[in-house]
Amino acid sequence: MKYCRTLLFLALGLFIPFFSFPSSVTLAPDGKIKNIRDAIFLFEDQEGTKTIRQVMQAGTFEALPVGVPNLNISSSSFWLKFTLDNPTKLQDFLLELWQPTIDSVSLFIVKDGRIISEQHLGEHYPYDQRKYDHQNFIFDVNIAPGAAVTCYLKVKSGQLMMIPLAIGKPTDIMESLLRKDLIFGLYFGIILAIFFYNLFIYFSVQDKSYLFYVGYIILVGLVQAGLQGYTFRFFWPGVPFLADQSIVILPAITGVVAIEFMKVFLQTKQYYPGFTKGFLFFQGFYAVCIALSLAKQYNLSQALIQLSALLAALYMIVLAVMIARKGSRPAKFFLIAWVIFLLGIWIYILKDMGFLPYNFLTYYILEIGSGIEGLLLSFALADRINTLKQEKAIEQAKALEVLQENERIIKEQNITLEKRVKERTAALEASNRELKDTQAQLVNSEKMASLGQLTAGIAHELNNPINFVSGNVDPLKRDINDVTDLLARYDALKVGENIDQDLEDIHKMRKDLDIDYTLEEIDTLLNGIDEGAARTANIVKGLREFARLDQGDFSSANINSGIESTLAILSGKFGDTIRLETEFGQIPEIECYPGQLNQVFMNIFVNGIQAVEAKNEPGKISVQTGQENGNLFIRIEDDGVGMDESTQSRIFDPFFTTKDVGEGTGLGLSISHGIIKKHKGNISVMSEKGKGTTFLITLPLQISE
Amino acid sequence: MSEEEKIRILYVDDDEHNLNSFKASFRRKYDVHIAESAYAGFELLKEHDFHIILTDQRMPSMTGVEFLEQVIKKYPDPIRMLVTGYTDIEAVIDAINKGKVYNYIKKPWEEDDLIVMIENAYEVYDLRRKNAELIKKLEEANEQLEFLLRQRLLD
Repeated sequence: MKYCRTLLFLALGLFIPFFSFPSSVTLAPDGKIKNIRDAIFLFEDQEGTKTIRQVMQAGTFEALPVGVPNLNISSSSFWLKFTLDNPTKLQDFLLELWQPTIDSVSLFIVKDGRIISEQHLGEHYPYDQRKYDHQNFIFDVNIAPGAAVTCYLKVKSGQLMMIPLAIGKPTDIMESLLRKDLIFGLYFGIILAIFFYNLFIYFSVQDKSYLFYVGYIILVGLVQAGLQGYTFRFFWPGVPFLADQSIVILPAITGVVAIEFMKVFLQTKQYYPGFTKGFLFFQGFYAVCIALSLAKQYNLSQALIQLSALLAALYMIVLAVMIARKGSRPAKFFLIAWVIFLLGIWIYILKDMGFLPYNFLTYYILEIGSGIEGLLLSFALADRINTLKQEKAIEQAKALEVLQENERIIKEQNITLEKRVKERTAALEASNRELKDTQAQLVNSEKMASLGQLTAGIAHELNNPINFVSGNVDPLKRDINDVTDLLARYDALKVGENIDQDLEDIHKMRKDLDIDYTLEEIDTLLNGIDEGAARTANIVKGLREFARLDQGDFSSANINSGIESTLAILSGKFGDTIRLETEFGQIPEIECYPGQLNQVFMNIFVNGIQAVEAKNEPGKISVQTGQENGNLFIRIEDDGVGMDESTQSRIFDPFFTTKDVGEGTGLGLSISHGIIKKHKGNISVMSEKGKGTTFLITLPLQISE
Repeated sequence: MSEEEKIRILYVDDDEHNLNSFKASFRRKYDVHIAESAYAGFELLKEHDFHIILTDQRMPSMTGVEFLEQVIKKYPDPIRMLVTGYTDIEAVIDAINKGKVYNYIKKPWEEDDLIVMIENAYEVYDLRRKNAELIKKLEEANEQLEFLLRQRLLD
């Protein structure tokens, strides 16, 4: 809106019309409203100190061209002179100056060189002192019917001033004022509606351009209201200072916000980032204007704002055209809105200059143009949101496509992966089966190793007694033969002939055969056989005890006898360097797998024997059994080489062995551990390197299977 | 074979039943001496000239191989044999390398097999002895010849 007056100024500069000057203004018949646009004379009092008398006497008035008088920004006081002829029968008229932002206005009515009326109005006078409650300046003019008066209008303001004057009978003027209020009310209503509507849209959409737009639109409304004097009339009627400031500061803020809005709306940063930086210059310019205004430099500030607005508007239009050429829909809407707005300004100017008739459209074209601009921009915003939405939808569709493609790929990969997992699982199952087979084989081979130890152990034990049993038979036969031969000789002895000689022969034979020794030997040999048989029987008995290993039955057994039979089998291994100490406690029979427990004992004994042998000095192994806390315990202790901690921690691990490759399966203690666990018992080891090792086995007295 | 010419055998074993059995089996054929330990064996070695020595491997305090090792140092001539009920390859290897045994006999033994082994062993013993005697005679003859040769040369 603020551009309008700049453009007005420009337009007027471009089209200076030339008309003949009538010398006076004739009032309309019946007192209808008449616009005063010709026969006006102007005198500029540069100091602004001249009184009405001085002006009347020495004022050098010059005729103004036809149209609404247009005064430059200046600190001067302007005097307008016009003569009113009253051809009507009416006497009371009202003169309306439709320019509410003038600082001070004074009207002097002169008739026949005499001042008959003097009225002072303006923004520098408090509003409530006005006779007529309106922001436009209303003066009483009394002209006798058929008479004429000369009016001197003194105006002073720091701004560019249009001086649209109209005169008519009071009812008409008041009616026109009411109409103006109504129209402006309508306009401001539209602005407010647009403001709130878009504000709510902003709350819902959260798009920044809406925020700038609502700021822009409400500021435009306020500026327009300020220009029309409504802000002075309604918002700060008693504060002329605010009236002054608002006229400058509001347009400046509007300019800043408008630039921000357009930047966002036209997406200038996206199209022309370099040009966008140029706006900073204008915004800085506006800031300077605000500072000047606050420093009460109204005239300069006003002039700079006009300049800035003009340049910014041109800059913006050029940029909008450039962006529109690139196919931006918002830019096109923007240009249409602006063209309509500018069209409104031109129509307004042409009307003021008399090229267009005064009618409703031309009279309120500024408000109409501004309202349409606001609506179009609002529409453009909605369209922009739509465009953005469509773009988003397209993007989403693309994203969806990508997602679907990804999903498809993932599905394919899943299928491949599942296949691979299946293959891998199959392979794992196969190797697991192989492992189980191997484990079974290993367990079996460990069993075989146990059996091997067992047979090696018993072989020697058996071979000795068998040796002297079988070896004694032949000499025994020979001895008995000798004895029988001797007996036969006795039998063949015949009483009478040569009996002495025969007896002597027999005696000699007896001596030759050494029968006494033979008899003694027979005794020894029989003892040997007896001993051998007993020993053999004993070993076989132990073997049978131990060999319960192979019968996997869960049966009742005495652990003490199991240990004894194991020791019997191993007796050959102990030799003479290892002393065995047993301390069997009173323990009840327990339900167990006796053969498997014997295997455990044998494993521990064999390890103990090896540990003692490795020490190369006489040692001992002790076994202790007993009952404790409802458990049965077996403690097997040796004073062999012992183990370090890392070995201790691993001895129950499968395949862990300290023996040379091929000498141990590494499974003995691992299997023993499994066997004890199967009996719900516990096996633990305590050892110290160089001191010996103790195995402690505990078994519950009641094993529920 | 006269009493003097009977094969003289020493058998060492820690088990007296084995000793009795051995003696009963072979006393008629051979001059059998028995010892219950390696130490007792050494004592007997001091008193008699044995042709053949048999020893059990597994004995307390000194094994058969260790005993034979000691025997070789003082009495290298008797033929040595190891008797054991124990099939331990280490013992066999030691018996051959350290004990320098002529034969390895497993318990329980077969009397006939043992007799063949003893006879064979004695034959070896006898041949060695005779060989040594012949060499000795040959050397003597050689010396005499050399003496004669020197005299001839002086003449």
